[in-house]
Amino acid sequence: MALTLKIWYDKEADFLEVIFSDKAGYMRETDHDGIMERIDEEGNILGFSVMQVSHLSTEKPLIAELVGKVQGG
Amino acid sequence: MSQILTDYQGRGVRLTDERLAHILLHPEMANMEKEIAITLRNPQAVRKSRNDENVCLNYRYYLGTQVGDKWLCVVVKYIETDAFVITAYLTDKQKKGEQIWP
Repeated sequence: MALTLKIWYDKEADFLEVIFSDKAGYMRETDHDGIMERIDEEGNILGFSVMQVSHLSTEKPLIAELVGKVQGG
Repeated sequence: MSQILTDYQGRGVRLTDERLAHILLHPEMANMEKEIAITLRNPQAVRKSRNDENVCLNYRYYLGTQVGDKWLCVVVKYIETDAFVITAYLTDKQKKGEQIWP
């Protein structure tokens, strides 16, 4: 099944948000302070956000674990 | 265009129309524009971001939101001559980091 992504980037705020679903939800912190996962009330992942995007290393990937449930999984 | 909100220390904080529109696109935030201003003016807790020392997280607890009882967090960046809202969202708990208010 195809998954539609919405990707928002605010240059001044240096803030990126990726949305998988337009459902109502809330943010939950991850093991990385700059990354939050967006989940619904059943714990399904709806997306994630990244702060200070321009400060990311060009040599190492940014790694965080999203623990919410993948929809349909 | 921007509106100027006031934080708990009386400082002006810009909220651009573009940022506000994006925040309010999230269904659970659709009717919480007024609460964003209230949270910034009267937070129950303010924490400094561990990710960016110029960023503060303003929290106020709300009962009965679309996704249950949650903290509203308004994220603000302060630089020498400016301050602006990065984002605002509902969350289940406050982030770790130094609490600077109250």
